Amino acid sequence: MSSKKRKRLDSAVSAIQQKWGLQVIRQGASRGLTAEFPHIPTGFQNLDQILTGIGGIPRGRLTELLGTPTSGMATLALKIVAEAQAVKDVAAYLDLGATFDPDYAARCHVNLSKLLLVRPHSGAEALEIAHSLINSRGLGVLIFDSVAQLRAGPLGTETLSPILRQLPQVLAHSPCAPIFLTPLSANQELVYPGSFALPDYATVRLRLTKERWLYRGDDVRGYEAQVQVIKNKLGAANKSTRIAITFNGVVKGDST
Amino acid sequence: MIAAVNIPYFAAGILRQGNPLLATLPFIIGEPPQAPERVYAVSPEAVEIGIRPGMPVRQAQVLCPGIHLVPNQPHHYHSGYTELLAVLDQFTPVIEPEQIGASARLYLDLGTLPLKKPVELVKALGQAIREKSGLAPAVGLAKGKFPAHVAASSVKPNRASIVSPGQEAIFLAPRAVTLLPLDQELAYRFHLLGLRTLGQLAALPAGAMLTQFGVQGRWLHQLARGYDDRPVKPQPLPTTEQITRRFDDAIANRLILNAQCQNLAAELAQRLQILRQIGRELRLTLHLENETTWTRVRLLRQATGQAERLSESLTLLLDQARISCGVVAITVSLGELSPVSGEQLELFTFGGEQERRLGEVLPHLVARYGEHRFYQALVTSPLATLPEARFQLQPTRNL
Repeated sequence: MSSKKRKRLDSAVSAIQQKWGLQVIRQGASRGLTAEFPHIPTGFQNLDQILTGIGGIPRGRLTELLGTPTSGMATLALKIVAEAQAVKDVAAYLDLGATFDPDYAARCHVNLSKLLLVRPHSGAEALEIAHSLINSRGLGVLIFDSVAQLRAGPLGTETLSPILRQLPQVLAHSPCAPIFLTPLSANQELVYPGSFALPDYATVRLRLTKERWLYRGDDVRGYEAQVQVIKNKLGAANKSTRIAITFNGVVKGDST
Repeated sequence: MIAAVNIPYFAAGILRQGNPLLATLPFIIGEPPQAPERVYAVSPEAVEIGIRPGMPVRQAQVLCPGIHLVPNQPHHYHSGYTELLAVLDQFTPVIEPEQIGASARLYLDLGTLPLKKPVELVKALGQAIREKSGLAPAVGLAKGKFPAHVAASSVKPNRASIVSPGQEAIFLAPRAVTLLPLDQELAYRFHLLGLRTLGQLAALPAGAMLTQFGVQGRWLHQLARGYDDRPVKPQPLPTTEQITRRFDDAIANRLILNAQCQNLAAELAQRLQILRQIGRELRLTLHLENETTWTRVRLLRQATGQAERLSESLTLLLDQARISCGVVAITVSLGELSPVSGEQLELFTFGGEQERRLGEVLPHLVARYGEHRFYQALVTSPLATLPEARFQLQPTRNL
């Protein structure tokens, strides 16, 4: 850029900032392409590889997992919690549906003594608690299970969007990786409450689809799921891979 | 594979550890509660002289004038047994004590072992018992309990015998039929029939045994042929561990009582460590001078066996006491005992900064939204059959 153009641009920027404030226009911080984005590994090597530009679940950004029931969504979330705990992160599980299974979580290697389980009474309360916990910078990972339960609030869905809008701001100075679980209906339809623009705010969106059961002889030993990156603001999207979840006593995630 | 561990001189070995003067001398243990004038147990040196358990003490003293007579001390055997369990627990948690007293016999379920593994395992087992508990075990390893027991009985202390799978019948054939669990009548009938060895018994048709001796006969026939599918049954866990301390003079000073409670907590923690158990229900009972008692119970949020936590809780319980007269005894008991659950050791402190920050915000959130929103999953019964019973959600204010 020539010096004349640079001068004109600088004066325009300073004029805008003078009129609307410093925050309205800022120069983006340059980030080297090779610099590693702060992230939590998923526990599945091939999934980490297709999350290009990140290498896992990004910290300080919203992540959304989508899938039908029994697609491995909750298992993947618990594996991420276990991975986060392995690097000394504290985890919280917002259990709106009261479906959290401690035994299954323990089998996914989650350290239950370092897991805060929250059972809010409404969707708005859940988002407020999530906001407070993220803002405290006292969490490494937060699982929001699930978006479908957000409709259950007494004040309707009107209060949800303003809180969601604030989350990226508080996340900007937090090491937390909030993961929203969004169940899909049998015909793959989304079940967001009205005006809840989670897909817009999410940095990474992963869709899980169960492909087949895994057998050993006549016994089911697990299942294989396809994970598709349907959105990645920090790298290439539309990549997919397969993960295998075996549950012979201990839930073990294997890459296939 | 099942290992049978026989310790023929268990009581003598335990008492010898506590008294170095008995290290090399022959001695007898007398005064059992059932037969006050009889020898309860003997040292290996006394056996060489010809003294046997059950013999009158006077006869033993005639055989060996000046032999040491040591009083029977069952509480020492109990603590020795718990130490032995702690050693064996390193190999398997499935341990069935069949006999603990003058001698000891235990069964260990070692699961499936590779072909070369048994020799190393038996060596390690014997070495661990010798080094850590100072006892001399005879170890037998076989596919079933009975062949393992016979194998252990056929060797001297500090020796082992391994019966390869499929070789049980051959191994048992020359052994005496009296090794079977027989009552006197059945033993006499076998004697009359000329059945002296297990091989002779095994050679009989199973139908004939069933006709002649009934279901028990068929079972003994199977044992003689080396088939024993009885599982190793672990000993049921005690539900409560209790300590009582009595005082010569009644104590009314709260500071002294508190110090006594702390001592009891340390002692209780030590016992729990040996038993490898933790508990939740802490009960403090003060026995008062006016022959009444004062009891308070505290249900701990998380099961523990740590002296510090027990001591803290006892102090809180004692603070509730309104002592009107002197205390003559204190009883501390810990209930709802469960085995110590596996815990991953941490090289570094967990969370650190994150945990501190969460600790700051969580009480505010609890105050705002209520206690029954924030939980922690606690392991309550890790061995419960139903997965739902293994954990319990406990309201929390801090991680």
